Amino acid sequence: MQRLGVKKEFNFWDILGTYGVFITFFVLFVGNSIFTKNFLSMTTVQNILSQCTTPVLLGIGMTVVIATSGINISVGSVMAMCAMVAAKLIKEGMFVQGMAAGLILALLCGALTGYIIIKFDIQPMIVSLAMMFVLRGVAKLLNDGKNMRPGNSALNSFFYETVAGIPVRTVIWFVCALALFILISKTRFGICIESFGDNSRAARIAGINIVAVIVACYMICNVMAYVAGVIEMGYSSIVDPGNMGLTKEMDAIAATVLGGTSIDGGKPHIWGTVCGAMVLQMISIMVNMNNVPSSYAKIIKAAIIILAIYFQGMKKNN
Amino acid sequence: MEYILEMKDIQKSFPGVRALDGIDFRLKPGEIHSLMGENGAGKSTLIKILTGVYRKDGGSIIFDGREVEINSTIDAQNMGISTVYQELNMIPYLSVGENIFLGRYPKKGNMIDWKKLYKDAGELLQGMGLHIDAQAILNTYGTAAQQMISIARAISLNCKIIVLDEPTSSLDTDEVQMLFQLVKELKEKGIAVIFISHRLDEIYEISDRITVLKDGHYEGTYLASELSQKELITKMIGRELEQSEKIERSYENSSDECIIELDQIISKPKLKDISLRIKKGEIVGLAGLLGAGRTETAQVIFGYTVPDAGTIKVKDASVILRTPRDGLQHKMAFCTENRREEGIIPNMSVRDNILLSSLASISRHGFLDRAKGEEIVNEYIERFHIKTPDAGQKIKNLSGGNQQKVILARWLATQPDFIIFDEPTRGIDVGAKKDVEILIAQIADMGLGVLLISSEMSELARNCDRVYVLRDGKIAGEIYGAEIRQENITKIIAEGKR
Repeated sequence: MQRLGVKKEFNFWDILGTYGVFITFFVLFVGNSIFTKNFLSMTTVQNILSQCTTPVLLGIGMTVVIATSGINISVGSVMAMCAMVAAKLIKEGMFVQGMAAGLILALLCGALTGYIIIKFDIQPMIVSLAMMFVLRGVAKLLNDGKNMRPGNSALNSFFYETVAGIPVRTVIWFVCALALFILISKTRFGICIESFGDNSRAARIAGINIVAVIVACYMICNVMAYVAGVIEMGYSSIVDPGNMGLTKEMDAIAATVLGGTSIDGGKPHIWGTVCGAMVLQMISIMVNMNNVPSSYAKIIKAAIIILAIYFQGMKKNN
Repeated sequence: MEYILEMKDIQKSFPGVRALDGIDFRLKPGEIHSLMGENGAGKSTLIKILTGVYRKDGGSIIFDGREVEINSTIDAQNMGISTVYQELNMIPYLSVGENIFLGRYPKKGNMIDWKKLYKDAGELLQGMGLHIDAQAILNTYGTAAQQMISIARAISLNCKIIVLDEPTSSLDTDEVQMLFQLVKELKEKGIAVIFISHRLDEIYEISDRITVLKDGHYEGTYLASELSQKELITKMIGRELEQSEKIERSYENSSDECIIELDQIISKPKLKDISLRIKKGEIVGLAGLLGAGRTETAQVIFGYTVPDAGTIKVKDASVILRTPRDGLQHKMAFCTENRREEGIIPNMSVRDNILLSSLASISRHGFLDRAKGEEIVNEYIERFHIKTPDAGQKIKNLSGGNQQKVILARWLATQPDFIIFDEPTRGIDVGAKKDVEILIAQIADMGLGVLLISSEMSELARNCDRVYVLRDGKIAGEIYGAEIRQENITKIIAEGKR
């Protein structure tokens, strides 16, 4: 092979823009271990690993969508609506049907969102905004806006289990993240996503089936939201159609951006997003354990997100 | 004072490109002066320097008898240099009058004096012989009227020079005549007009003088009455010094089998009647000036755009192509003109860029067979001498020529029967050009049908077995073998027949 022409350069901003989140995680973890009392205990670590379930699941789904230079702000509503449907059927004693119905609805909504976006060339933000309102509305209508209890104690206790000391919720999000990571790095689908996000026109001319790719991405995103919805339903044994998943799409976007996936599209960084979600969670816990008002957590998170975007911008310009 | 504007020895470079190299441009008051040149000749750069969008690196500008520095668009406007752009830079939802006086509304105290604004605007429009209501919302008028309004604004700025950049590209014949009438009136008033258009007939109808630029160099300024269309085209696109020896071919896989056939293709707005055929192992060229419909023809063949009428046949079977994916499935390939926008996936590796269009053949149940992919990638990197440190390098870090080779590798990996090259050597240096041309010859000798689009007639002469000449969306002529020479192509472009 020829080894001429261009030199491979070490790029400081490249590293920081892509892997900054791992550094942040490490710094926060070590810092808290030293300065926060009781931080380095089994309970705290377990808390971080389990409480970040929803942001991680929504985040990795969002990462796939953002990699296509899209966005899906309907994930919170998808959580609520699909969980509501599942809960209703489970309450009637139809456990399998309920779980399946929720999944199918999540897939259908995702397919519809993606199809409208790619086929009619409408801003993803607007399409998913409409979806967000519609699905939230449907979720409330399903039970007249009242909370719904699936009333299945087996489901409830399942989510309190641990596997070799690791909470079952953690196991679930890890498996999901691993599955998406494999999908993105080992299949042709992964290359299709990246090429579309990086240069959609070139991808189209290269013969990529862009309609199928975009539709699939929004379906995947919604399935992740559905899994998050089921976990919240099971864990708290209640579905609140008005509040479940509310504004959670913002955490998902934040985790994605923090994780190094460019908001303009391009390579998705699944583990970066996972790490990003944990960083956000760790900030909450840190603030909490040090008896600082929780509003500060939001301010710190915002600052970190802006810093992450700044690094990405520097990466792009260098 | 003979000249209102003299631009002398203008220099301008962009990273990696010398956009203008010693351009001279002199403009007399009350003349209509056309600026001619193909894409990349430097017309827009020169205009942007004149109007303060770019700053020149060297040379001098003498305006109205004294040397000036134009540092911003406001400087240019204050001096009296106005531009009417291709894409109108006006605000569609404001009224005509507001658009004319945008940013300089007449005031009464601190309030806008609407009465005076509309009165002045009305008088101005009437003075120009235009029946346009100053109070109407701008976008209730068509493009032609909006252009006139844009000119009205320029006049109200007391301008001495008006630049009309492709003003006729979206106008019909009557509207063009209206515009020309107005331009002639400007001339009467002693305003100098710089006119840019790709339509030769218009240039000759309206211009007093013509300045020709080519590849950032100054070719000369001529009286329109003394420069024939043929000479003009030669000056714009001819490269007389360049060798036009044919690239060697073996023709071992050529046959009379027709790979692609177009029959009376119409595709609005550019293509009016295109019929052509390309055989196995044949390199067919598409010649023509910018805007003649060359790229649009390629896009129709590949399924990028769907034509309004006509039939496309692939190996004698009628096909309907709705997306590039359909083109790919009919074993076509398309190396586009804009490598950056429509070719490379900039942040992806050379490896994945090569494999992008043939992912299906290297995966099982959707999972990539990386080893198989690596074989293909290494084969092409070696065969095309792609210069990259390794296959994992981001393609955006490669030089233009090497990027082009990667795109070519991407398409050949799909094992096509037919391939389109749209300006394959644009923006790559001379050495790499030769490499690409030899590759094209090799590809044809493998038995592929090749459609080669190029603005460089010498390139067509070196590579093609047959050339179709396009003029205004129609096939104006066809040239074979040794007849493919610059002067023959020029003649068809200029005269529209053979």
